[in-house]
Amino acid sequence: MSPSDRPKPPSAGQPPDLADPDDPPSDEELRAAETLRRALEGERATAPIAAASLDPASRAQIGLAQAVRAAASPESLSPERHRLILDHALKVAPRRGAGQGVVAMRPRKSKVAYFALGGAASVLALAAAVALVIRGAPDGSMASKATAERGQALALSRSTAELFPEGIPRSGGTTHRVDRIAYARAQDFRQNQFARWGAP
Amino acid sequence: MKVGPFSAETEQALVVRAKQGDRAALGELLSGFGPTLFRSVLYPRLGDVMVAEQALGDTYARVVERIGAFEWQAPGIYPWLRVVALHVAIDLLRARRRERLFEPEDLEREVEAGVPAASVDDPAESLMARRDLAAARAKLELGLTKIHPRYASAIRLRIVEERPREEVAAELGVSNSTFDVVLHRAMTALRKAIDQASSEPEEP
Repeated sequence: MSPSDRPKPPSAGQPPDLADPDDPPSDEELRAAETLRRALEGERATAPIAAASLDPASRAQIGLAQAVRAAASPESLSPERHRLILDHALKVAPRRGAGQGVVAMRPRKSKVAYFALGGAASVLALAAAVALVIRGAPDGSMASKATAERGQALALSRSTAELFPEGIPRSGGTTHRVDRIAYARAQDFRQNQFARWGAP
Repeated sequence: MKVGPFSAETEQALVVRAKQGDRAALGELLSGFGPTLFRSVLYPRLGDVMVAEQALGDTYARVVERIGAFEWQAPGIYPWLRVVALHVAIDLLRARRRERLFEPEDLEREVEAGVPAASVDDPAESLMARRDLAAARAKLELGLTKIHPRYASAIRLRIVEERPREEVAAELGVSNSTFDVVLHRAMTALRKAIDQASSEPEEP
């Protein structure tokens, strides 16, 4: 710390936003400040901080930094990314006949709910799979047959390359990519659920 | 001639086709207005690019479902698209407790705001996009005015302007390590200021 940065006496009793910015930092503040610095520089670093490795307070602070940037100078959506989002919306939405009014449809819920549903469904599916193996199903393709009879196409496992038309950089942006993949797969899951329910 | 993605005649013709179930026409409309919705409405208010992309997809899905209910009006379809997007954003803000500048109530007030008087040279979508971007910046500036001026400078220089850490530290007259602490405190103060503003009753 340079002489000009020398700690000054703490201003006890003041609210945080009015405290002297030059008050000596606590160990906790030093750790949090270092995490924020690394996160801000991690956008260009070879090994950005993984979001999962951050404590909630640091994640919150980094999230706020992103929100500040979004409010001050929001970036545009890339044409490739926009095309993917638009194509998906037009592809999965039910078709209407000409002149029809509003299509009655289940109200859309937040993807958060679908993520939660996905987690719970995964646990149930795992339990069901174990039960099937233990009981020795006579025909292991029952679910496939049922789906085939309904004529519904389920989303298949596939490469994640199509989610990144702009290409995958050699380093950086891991959290962003994982989020994008998770979002896309959650959509697949929802579509599969609709298909299994026989929704149009 | 209308300035924007479409002339008024073209836009109205696309809307008529879209209401009849023409997905290509609807896709063309959304291709024209979607990027503006993302940049001026969704991303600044949701504060996270992934959540904003999710919101845009949800907006499109709702538009596909409800385009049949849209009745053509002189400002065109953009004000209606914007309201759909704001409703999607309100749902997401309510569902996710995350770091953000906007509260659902802020967006509800924006939904109620009227459509500005458009002109041939300055159509509704341009006016509303500028107003929405300005509102987002004003929300941030309001938060910055409530914190220590030095904290506000740290946030403006490092977060908003994305200037290098070393440069900002030098401008504020502190070492790099001290600047890190100042910025951390600045973000903490901003969070508290925003939370405090959200909990205060709205002035009449």
